[in-house]
Amino acid sequence: MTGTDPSAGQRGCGNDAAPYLLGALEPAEARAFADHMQSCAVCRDEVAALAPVLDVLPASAARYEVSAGLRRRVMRAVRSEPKRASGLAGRPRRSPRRRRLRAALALPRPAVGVALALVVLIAIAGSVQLGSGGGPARVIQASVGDAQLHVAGDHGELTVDHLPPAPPYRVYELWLQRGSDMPAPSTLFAVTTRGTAVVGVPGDLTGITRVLVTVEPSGGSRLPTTRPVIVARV
Amino acid sequence: MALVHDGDARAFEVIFDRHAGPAFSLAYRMCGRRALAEEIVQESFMSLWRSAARYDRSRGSVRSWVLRVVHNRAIDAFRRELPAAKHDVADDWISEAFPARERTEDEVERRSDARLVRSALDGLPADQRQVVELAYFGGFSHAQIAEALGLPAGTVKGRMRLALSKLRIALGEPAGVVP
Repeated sequence: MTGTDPSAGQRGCGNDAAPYLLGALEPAEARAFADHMQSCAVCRDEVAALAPVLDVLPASAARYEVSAGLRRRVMRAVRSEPKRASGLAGRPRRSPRRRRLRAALALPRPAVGVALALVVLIAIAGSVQLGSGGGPARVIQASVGDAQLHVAGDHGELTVDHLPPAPPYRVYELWLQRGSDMPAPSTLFAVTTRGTAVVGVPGDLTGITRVLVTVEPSGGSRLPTTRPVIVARV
Repeated sequence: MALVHDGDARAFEVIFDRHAGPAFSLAYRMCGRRALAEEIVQESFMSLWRSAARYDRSRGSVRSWVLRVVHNRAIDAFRRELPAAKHDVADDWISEAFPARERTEDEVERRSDARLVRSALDGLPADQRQVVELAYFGGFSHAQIAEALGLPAGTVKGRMRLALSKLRIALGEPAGVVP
């Protein structure tokens, strides 16, 4: 009935699914429920069953058109803000050489579905290899699934495998940290159903000392609200 | 979406034109003020532009993804940044200024879906519909609703659950999913 907590369904599990989907839980409650869902099949099933209703509920609102002014402002902002994550994301995902490297490293692959809340950060013990671009590629062991940060010159690309999908209405957010400064939000990403993603790190990595990944509400956060699931020292 | 992910502004323009109307309608329904609704929509689409990589087709349509971001942004605005801004006097003129037009067959179909959803909502017992509307469109938490209605929190949660379960049955396979 449940994943790691067989009694969960007998403690009123499922009661928070509707308020969670409706956005009626307080942020801390929503985070706790999202963590709980990782190990509770009752709540996961309830959310999955009710979620489609939330997809059509907005249709009940009276329809208005956007103003021409809003359209102009958005498109002007888009054109003045070049897409930062596209450059590296479009590169070939992984060379045969890199695949062999991965096999040789035989990184541990915790089962998909490991509770994010229970993650214990593993110290980064990167081994430096040559990346496809000829620069150093730092191979990083992630605390959930596994991850590699490939650095070529000033640019980086994070490749993750076996990372559990973020809970509903949550997303993985990448952060860049300089020294002891607060991490700065970078880009958001989701993993495939196989738990993979290739994320170009926007901008250059000059001065960046750590690359972090946390689970955040859809739309991202300005500051991390959960413990990092991936930490890479650059 | 692949083009948007690759930084194609024209592709993003298509996404905006296709989904901005429902996005603005939802934001306006939630906050009741045109300026704030536009701010929420603008922030949401810029967030989508910056993070198209996170869109996962297996988890729903682009429309659903856009509306989820708008909904979350509106709630964030209510709860953290603009607590005094919600539920101000609505801009009554807006329906005259920006009425949605029925331009395409898609639009007609969406309006039909909208009628179905409204009908399903109307079919709920009043107390269940009330908590859904307060939560989803009003951005109120279950605790705030419980306090306002003088009910135990568990009762409010129970009504939400019943309401969504009934809507699911009434709507069958949800319609109006736009890829």
